Amino acid sequence: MSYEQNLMKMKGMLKKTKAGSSTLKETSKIVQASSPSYESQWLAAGLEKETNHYGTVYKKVVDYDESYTHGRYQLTELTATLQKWKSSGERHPLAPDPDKRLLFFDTETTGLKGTGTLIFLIGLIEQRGNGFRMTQYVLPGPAHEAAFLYATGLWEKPVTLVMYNGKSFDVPQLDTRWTMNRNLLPPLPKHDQIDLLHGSRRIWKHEMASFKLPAVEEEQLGFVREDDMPGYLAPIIYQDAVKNGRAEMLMKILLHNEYDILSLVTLYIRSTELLLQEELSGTAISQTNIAKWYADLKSHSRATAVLEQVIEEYGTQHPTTHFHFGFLLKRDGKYGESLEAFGVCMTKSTGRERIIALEEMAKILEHKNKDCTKALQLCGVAKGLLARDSSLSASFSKRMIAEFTKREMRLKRKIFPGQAQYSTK
Amino acid sequence: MANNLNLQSFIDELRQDPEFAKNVKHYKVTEGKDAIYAPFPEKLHPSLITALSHRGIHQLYSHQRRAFDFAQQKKSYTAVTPTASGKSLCYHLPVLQSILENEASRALYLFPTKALAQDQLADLHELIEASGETVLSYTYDGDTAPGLRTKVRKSGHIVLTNPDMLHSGILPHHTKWVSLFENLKYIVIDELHTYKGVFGTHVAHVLRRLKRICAYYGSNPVFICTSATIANPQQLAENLTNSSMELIADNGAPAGKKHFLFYNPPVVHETFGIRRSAVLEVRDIASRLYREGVQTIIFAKSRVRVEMLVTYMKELTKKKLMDETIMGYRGGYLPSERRKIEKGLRNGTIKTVVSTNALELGIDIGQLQACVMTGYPGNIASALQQAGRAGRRQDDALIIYVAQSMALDQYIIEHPDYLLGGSPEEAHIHPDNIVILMDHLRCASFELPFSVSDQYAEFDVQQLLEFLASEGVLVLAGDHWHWMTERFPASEVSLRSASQENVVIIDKTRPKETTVIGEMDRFSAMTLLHEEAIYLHQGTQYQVEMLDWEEKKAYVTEVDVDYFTDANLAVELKVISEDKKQELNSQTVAFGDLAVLAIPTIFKKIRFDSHDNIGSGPIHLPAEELHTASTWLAFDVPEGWTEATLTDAMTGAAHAMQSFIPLFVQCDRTDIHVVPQVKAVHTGKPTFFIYDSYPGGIGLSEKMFDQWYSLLCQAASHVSSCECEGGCPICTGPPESDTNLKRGASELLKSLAGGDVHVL
Repeated sequence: MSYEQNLMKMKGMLKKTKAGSSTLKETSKIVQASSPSYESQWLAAGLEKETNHYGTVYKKVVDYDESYTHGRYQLTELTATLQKWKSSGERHPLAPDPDKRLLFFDTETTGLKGTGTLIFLIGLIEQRGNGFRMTQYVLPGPAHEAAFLYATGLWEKPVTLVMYNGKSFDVPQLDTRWTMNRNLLPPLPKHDQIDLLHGSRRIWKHEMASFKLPAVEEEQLGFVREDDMPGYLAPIIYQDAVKNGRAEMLMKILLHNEYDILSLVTLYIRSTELLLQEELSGTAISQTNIAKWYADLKSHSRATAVLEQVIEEYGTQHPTTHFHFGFLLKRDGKYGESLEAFGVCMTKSTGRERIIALEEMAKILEHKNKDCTKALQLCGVAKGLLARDSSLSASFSKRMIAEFTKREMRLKRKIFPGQAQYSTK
Repeated sequence: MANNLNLQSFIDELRQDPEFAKNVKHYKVTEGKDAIYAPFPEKLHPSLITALSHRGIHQLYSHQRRAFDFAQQKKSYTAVTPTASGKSLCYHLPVLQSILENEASRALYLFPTKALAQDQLADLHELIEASGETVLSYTYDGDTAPGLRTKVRKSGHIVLTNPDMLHSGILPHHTKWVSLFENLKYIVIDELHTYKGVFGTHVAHVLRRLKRICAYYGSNPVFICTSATIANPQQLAENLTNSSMELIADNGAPAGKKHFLFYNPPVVHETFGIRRSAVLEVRDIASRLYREGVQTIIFAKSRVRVEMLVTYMKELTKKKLMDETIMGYRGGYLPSERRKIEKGLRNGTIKTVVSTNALELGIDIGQLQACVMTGYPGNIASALQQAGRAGRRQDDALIIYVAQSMALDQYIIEHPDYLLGGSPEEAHIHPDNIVILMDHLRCASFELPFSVSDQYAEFDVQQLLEFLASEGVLVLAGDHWHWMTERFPASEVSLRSASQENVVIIDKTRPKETTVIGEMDRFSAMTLLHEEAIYLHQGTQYQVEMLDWEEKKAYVTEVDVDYFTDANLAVELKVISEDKKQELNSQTVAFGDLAVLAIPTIFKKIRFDSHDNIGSGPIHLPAEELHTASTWLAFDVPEGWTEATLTDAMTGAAHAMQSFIPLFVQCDRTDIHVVPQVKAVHTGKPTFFIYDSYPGGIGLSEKMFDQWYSLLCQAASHVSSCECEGGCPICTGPPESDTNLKRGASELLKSLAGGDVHVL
């Protein structure tokens, strides 16, 4: 029977009451929710029970000793990582506040957005003495949300959360859940957020095709997942666990989540290694990306140092390095060297980068070297390229041709003063 | 006043032209009226007084003052406000007052479309600026920049949005709007009369969900509605908001003099009583107005008609390069296109605009001098709204009503007082529709779990929640029904049409530059975007090359042909349940649920100008199934009638009945269908079915269940008094070859009505 036919049958069941306005108000009275009927099954699967004055929550706690490795990295390398950040003095999006607890954090949810989506699993890893402790909190059922959120302790004081795509997903979800329980729970403080997805995109742009966590693990962390339950199945599995009490599949989601947070620790180690290294260890592409990131953060001396290293190692193999180097040199007033760097791009770069390099060269030649003839010649080269190169977007070509034409007219006026000229207007 | 003189002399000229005057059946003038004022309320904030005097306002119209007073008493109200009566002050003043008194106060404005919200924002900004105060007002819709959204949510005092955005962008994310919902003082619903039928029913539920969220955050906002003239504004508002309402019906704004010309095109086919095409008449009349330089709006009922008229009218400017003094305006155009047209109307560069009812709404297009209606828009409220487009403020206005050959149109031309003096129709919504109710119950459950003792607005929904649990959507945990799937229900419910997905129209005339030129709902697409259909857009003709029904894409290329296309739908009916039954003159009428299977069958190619049928072809599309509410009338075959005579008589009678249903319930022709069956499966007898076009029904046929008698009388009297010989488009629809539809239909209707023929 179709859904519509079913509904037509229910028409008779529809009853109305003239608005006696049943007041549905937020409850601020704390009622301890009782344990779910499937508790024994969940405990048998390996979960522990914890109770607080809101009700019940289940959890799984795992301790990792100092020798524990995840892929190529030992978790304990984190100590050195934090030390590096401290001594670097950098104000970087990945730099932690040394005064705050550092929690590696990941959630699993029943949907993608909105107030009807629940967080049912919160996984946390934290350094403890020489080892690490992971705690995963599992929501026993929708009625236990306050107990579940309270148990995480995230309300206690501001911490630093290290996440993967947490800025746009996990944290807004956590805010939503907290607001839904705001009359019961203490307020959620504003936590610092370090998002390693953003970091990975900056570091490995043009080097990696996918930024899905398993792809990053394989390429950067030397970790290959075995027996992993894909994350998109999480909602269905949790629904099944709540409706039928089955916990075996749920434990596989916990394993998936455990992989996620372990990888957060080692990805943080790996990212920091590349960002704060003494000696070159990344590729020319990733190192140039890193330098660009520093330059965007106005950390110019570090950006310059990284680029110099790359050029020393790779020469003119990767012209983009020279492209960014050219801008830094220009900023420092080293016009001759800047001209040289952009010169590498003129011969080796392609597309947009080559056009912009030519423009920069023309600017320096015109305004600093006062070599208008050479500048004019470069304008001609650029316009020729713009006319021929079909890989450039139409709007970019149009804009740049106009720019170069204007520049040409100005240069001609300087070279041949007193002659009749086209108006630049 | 020179303006008024011009118009008056133009009208005189028209009336003295014998060719024109012989077709003018009536000339009516409605006198203007003076304003009724009231002083500013004592409490009115000094900054608001400053802002008003900046606009040259030193006292209020009486209705604006009453609105302010109701708001002060925390009473919800509905103000009936014709075009240009200063309706926006009915809500701006109390809202701004509340914000100036308490900075934390918030208000939510709802407009039926994005365009109206953006238009009103400009008006509101002006008022706020003149007050010298800081009040933050924003539109929140699909166009709002992501970077601005957080600011709107946290600190916008006044948020202007539309029901669709409220439904899928705000309510399901209410935790991001805590400061709005905690402090919401007013909910403003502008253009109330547009919330009728299916759309209105959806909006009624969106508002019930909104009230539920407000209650959760502890606010109890006052509703302010403004409406065009309809028969039951208070009832509609109360039904829509599920709150009791005060009514402000007496309007204090002044009005200009309106000249109405009722124009009936000449008969061109005596036997069939067919008149010259109204579209062609409108073309000639509008051309005249264009040449006189009178800024004119032409209303046409369908998108196709709009495009035909634009094509015809553009002949006038063909020799001028890049001329844009004549434009079309209808749904399906892209927003940027529409903005440009609105601006052209305001600053006067556009002289003539041809529109569907999109412009009935309060989009500010400034002052037009004349309005030409191509046929009766189907209800009085619409007709008056259209007429109100001409002569805003106190100037004289000319309204020319051009009748089509159809029954209702001819009825209006014979009874002009029905339009001018009569009471307008009622607008109805039907929140009980179980399909729509369930859609929104799902959304409401997603937003906030129901407890086992909760109601949903006026409905007891515990059994329905149980049903949703059995469908695997909800889980009962503790004493609440929790949402338990990864689905996002609001994205599965569209407020605007029965079918969810629209068909996108893609122009691939130039293969390298394919562009999307518009979109259309699925049901209309069955008959307008089938393969080989001619689709008109801004007067340009396109032929549909391919309709990808799975992907909902129609690929079109530009063509230049001298015909348009018209498609037929075939329907199969199956009664699912019979809920009510009564006797009527020894026939049975019943009400219940019906399954309708609709399949488009063939299309015809019809030549412009002559409207000859010049070819046809099949349409291959899957059937659409519809479960809906229906009322039907079954009767015994009259003695001595053959099946053939009965078929003709029933076809003719059904045509006549369908034409008159809008006299009883406010609806569009397409909202309700009359289908005759010589031997219906369910009754085993000849049967007329009347059914709603929307799943679950929206109360139209339920209303008709009690009105069969009046409907039969009305139709019988109309058919027998029609001037034609054997049936015509006005009464029974055009007969095939030499049959006489009229006699049979007339006999049948008379006998069904019990021989008692009523004359209206």
